[in-house]
Amino acid sequence: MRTRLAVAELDPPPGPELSSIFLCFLKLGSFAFGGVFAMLSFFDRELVQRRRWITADELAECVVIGQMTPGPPIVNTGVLVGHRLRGVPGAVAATVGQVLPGFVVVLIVGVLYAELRSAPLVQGALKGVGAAVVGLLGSVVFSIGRRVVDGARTGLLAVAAFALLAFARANPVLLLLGAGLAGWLLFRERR
Amino acid sequence: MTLLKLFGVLFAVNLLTIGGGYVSLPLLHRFLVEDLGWLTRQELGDAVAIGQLAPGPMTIMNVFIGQKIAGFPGAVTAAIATYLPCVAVGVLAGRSYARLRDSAAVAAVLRGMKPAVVGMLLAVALQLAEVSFVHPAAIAIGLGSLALMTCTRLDPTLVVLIAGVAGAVLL
Repeated sequence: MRTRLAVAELDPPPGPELSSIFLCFLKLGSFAFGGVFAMLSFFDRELVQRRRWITADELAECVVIGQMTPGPPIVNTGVLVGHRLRGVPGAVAATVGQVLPGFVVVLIVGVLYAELRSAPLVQGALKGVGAAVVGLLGSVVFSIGRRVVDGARTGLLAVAAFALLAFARANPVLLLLGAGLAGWLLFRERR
Repeated sequence: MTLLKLFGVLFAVNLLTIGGGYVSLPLLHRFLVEDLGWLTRQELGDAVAIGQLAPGPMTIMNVFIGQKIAGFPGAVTAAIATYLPCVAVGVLAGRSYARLRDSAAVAAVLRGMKPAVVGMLLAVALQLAEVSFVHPAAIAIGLGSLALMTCTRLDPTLVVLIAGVAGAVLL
C-alpha cells in the first residue's frame, strides 16, 4: 500500500488548477501596460521565474506562434501558455483572466465618456488625444515599416496597399488577402 | 440583429488580422465608420486612445466600440467576437507548432501581408488626421506625439495622457 502511494506521488503533477491560471493571468492583464515587449517581461517574471509553470524556451515558442496567429500577439501567447498547462479550458481561463481587467476599465471609461463628452475641458482633452493617436499611428507605420519593408518588392506592396486604400477605396479584406497571395508568389522559393 | 452583425464584423476582422489592435484599424474604419456608419472617425480615434490607456491588449478598444453601438450587450458581444478567434486558432496552432514555424508558405504569405498593413495604416492615419488636425495646436500635439514615440522610449500610455492634458489646456 505504501509503495503504491509512493509511485502515485512520482507521477508528473497535473499542471496548475484552472483557478490559479485564471488568477495569474488576471494579474498579468491588470499590470501589464505598454507594448508587447514590455508585457513579455511580466510574463517571463511570473510564469517562468516565479511559478515555474513553463520554461523560458517554451515561452519563446509560444511568443513565436502567437505572432503568426490572428489577434494581439500577447493574448495569443496567453492562449498558448494556457493551452499547454491545461488544454482548451486552460486557454480559455488564461484569455478571460488577461482580458477582464481591460474590459472593466473600458466599460467604466465608456460610461464616463457618454456622460462627460460635452464638458469643454473633456472635449479639449479628447481633441488632444485624437491628435496624439495620429502621431502614434505614424510612429507605428515608421517602426513596423522599417522592419518589414526590406527591398523593392515589399516597398511596392506597401505603396500599392496605401494607394489602393486611400485613393481607390479598395476593400481592405481583399487587399490583405491579395497581399498574402502576392507574398506567396514572390517569396515562397527563397528559404 | 445589430448584435449579430457586430459579432460578425468583429469576428471576421479579428480572424483576418495578425498582429493586433493597430493592424485591425483599416478594417474597422472601413466597416464600422464608412460602410455601416455606426461610428464617426472621431469616435474611432477615441476608441484607439482608450484601448491604449486601458490595461491589457489594445484590441480591448473593441469593447468601447461595442458599448457605443449597443450598450452593455454590445460590449460583451464585442469582447467575445474579438477574442474567440485568438483562442480557436491559438489552440489549433499550438498543436501544429513545428509545421507552422518551419512552413515556407506561411512565412511567404506573412512577408507579403506585413508591408501591405504598413501602407493601409498610413492611409488610416491620414484619414484620422483629417478630422483631428483642425487647429494649429492639434497639429503640434500630433507631431509632438510622433516625435516622442519615435525618438524616446516613452510608453504610449504616457504619450496619450500628456496629449490629453495638453489638449485640455490648449484646445
